Amino acid sequence: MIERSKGLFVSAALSLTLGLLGSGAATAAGFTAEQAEAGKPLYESNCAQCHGFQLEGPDAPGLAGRDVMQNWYSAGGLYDFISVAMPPSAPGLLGEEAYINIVAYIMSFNGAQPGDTPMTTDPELLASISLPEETAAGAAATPSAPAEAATATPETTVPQAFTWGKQLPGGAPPAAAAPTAAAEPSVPQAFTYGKPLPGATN
Amino acid sequence: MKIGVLKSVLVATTAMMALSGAAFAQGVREEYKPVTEEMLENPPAEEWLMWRGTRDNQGYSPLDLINKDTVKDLELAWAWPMAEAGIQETAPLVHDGVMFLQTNNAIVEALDAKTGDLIWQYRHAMPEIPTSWSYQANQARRQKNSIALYQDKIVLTTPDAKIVMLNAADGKVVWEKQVLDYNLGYSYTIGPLIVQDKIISAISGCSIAGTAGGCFIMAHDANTGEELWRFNTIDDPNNPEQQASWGEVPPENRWGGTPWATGAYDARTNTTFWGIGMPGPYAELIRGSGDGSVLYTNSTLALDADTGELKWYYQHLPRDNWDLDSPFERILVDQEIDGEMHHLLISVPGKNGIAFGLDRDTGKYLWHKETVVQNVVTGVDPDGTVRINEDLISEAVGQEHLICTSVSGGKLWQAGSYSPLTQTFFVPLTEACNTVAPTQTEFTAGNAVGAVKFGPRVLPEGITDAGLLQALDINPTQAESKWQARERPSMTSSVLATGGGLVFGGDAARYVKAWDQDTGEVLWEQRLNAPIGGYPMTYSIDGEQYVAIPTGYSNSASSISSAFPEIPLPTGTGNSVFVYKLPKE
Repeated sequence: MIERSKGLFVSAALSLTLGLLGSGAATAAGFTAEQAEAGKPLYESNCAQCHGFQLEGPDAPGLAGRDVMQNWYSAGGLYDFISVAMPPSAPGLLGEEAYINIVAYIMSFNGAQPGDTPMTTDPELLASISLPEETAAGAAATPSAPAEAATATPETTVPQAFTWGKQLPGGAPPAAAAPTAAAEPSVPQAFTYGKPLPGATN
Repeated sequence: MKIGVLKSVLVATTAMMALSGAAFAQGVREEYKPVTEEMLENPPAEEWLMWRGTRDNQGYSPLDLINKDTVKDLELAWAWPMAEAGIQETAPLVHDGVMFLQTNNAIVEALDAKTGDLIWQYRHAMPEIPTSWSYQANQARRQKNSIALYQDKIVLTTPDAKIVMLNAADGKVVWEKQVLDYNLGYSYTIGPLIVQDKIISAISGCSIAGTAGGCFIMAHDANTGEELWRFNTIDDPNNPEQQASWGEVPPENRWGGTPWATGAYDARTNTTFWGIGMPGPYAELIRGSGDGSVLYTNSTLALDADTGELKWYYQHLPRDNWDLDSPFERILVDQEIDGEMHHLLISVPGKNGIAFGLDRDTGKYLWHKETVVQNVVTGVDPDGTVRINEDLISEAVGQEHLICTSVSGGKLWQAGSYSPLTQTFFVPLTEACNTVAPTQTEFTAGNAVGAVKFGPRVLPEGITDAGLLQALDINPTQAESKWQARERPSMTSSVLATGGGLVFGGDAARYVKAWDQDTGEVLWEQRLNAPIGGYPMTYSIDGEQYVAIPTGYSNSASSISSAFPEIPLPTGTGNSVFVYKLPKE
């Protein structure tokens, strides 16, 4: 089990790297590796001042994480917002291509894998690209994960909405909506990772 | 190695110079006069002792040296950069010649209010939280509006949910108390109210996942920190109607109800009045509360100041589906008409910008008045029952509606001001709408439970000006529009009414203005370094009147800046305070 997980970490990390470098798998996606790559400097010069280089905030809301992806819902939800309102000093003025590339970068940072089909401003196409589904592979596969793993999280299980896990009109089937296991770390770990080790004794 | 040694010597020298410099510039305010209960009840006209100047939250100063005739002569006395970036919502206080300036991330500075010299600074050490708790991290950099003065102490409420008592003379910690667990998401974003040796405070962060089931207004002994009472705004076992209003949703799946504006206090009845925010999750489809009104969200609560017992409540927006919080300032107004004294509570309590008048002894609804464009409330019955537009309630995940006002208001934290001089209520507002669609979201630690997708803020159809300063003529039976000052940029500061017949405030275009209370005419304006923010206030020292204007980064500018793209916002935060006075004769 541990062995298998390790393999998964490696492949997730590799595919993210490869994806950003331009040879991603031709599966799902919604954006190309080139778009995500072009989006990185655009994000860093126009958005990172407030939203953080690791998309963590704190001077504006963070843009990384499963709940963020679920709230924006689709690439269209994110694009429709930022292409009108962002950045506050030049709202909607970066140009369609820049906003598309920034959406691609935010998706890839959140773990979505690139594909062969470029993202365009076609509203139907944008609405069909599900952020939670595309990024399900992982907040785990983000560069912020190592820092995360190093900091012990005091409380990670939190209460859910009364309707969580129930079939709602227009909602995903319960199986898909059910709570998922905690995300796995994204980088190769020490051979002893996850095993009980003797503590230092004085 | 040699270079290393040299470097550390240099560093040490620099540090010593810095220290000796600090000892000269900073230090102690000798013989500081304590702030007594009597002063809190009847503050001297020359001072500004609390968030809105007085415990009735009027935001009014009787000072009149700066008036309609003299305001044109205002000159800069001094300016000061605030200690921290982030959203600027500072309420400067002045007592005994000292300005206490508090910024987000729990930093307090004491400045000589006449010269602008720093006396001391306190920086609260905050615990590290995981980077993935981005909503909670953002909370510490936002909406931190006030501190309180008590005797010879400063009362600071912190983003890590502590009450910290500082010595007013030197800024040293006297005691601190962990009030609630910040690991669950609790944080203070507003300052407390001081009533008869009690610290009455309200916690924020109640839309963060870990806080399910409880959001609190609390009283602590100001000398010992002992908790005296707490009132849970979303779970009141003493009121079956409150419990029923959440339908089947048990307390452990309820969120929200955050009281995120400091309450008012009426000594006559020993009652404290608080406004309560929206429910979480925002949409009833996700919340699971059906057509329940989800009390006490979006309500006014009247609590006994000694016991925390609920005297009455009034709900301004039942069944909220759109994050249209109603926590904003509750203002207490007394008006004598034909020999009869009327004790009113007036407010624009919620983001949808509707003004309300209540009888503050009974909670009885008196009147309401719409201001900005809104489409969620269709009317108010004579008995005070608020009717909502059920067509705007989403019945499926992803189903979208255009909602006015937007989640950013409408009305927001920027407080209005009531002038007893002209019996007028001045309210800064924004015209805005946004789409709202429920999402089905798995909650994570340190993040919010809203579970909706918001569209960008846009102007309502047919409107071209985002900003509105609304003047409302107030009496016990109605509120009438006296005048409206509209402008392209949004209003970004609270407003201050004065005995000089003026209203001070400012906008996203960096203009601070003084309006004529009677006509709405702009009698003075200056363009500053950043959106006007926080809480403009006034004070007097040695016979000279000063007006302090905070500026800085504003969400009320950035959220709607696409409505006025010809006025680019600065990308630097610029958080500062500018202090004006009249030239010496």
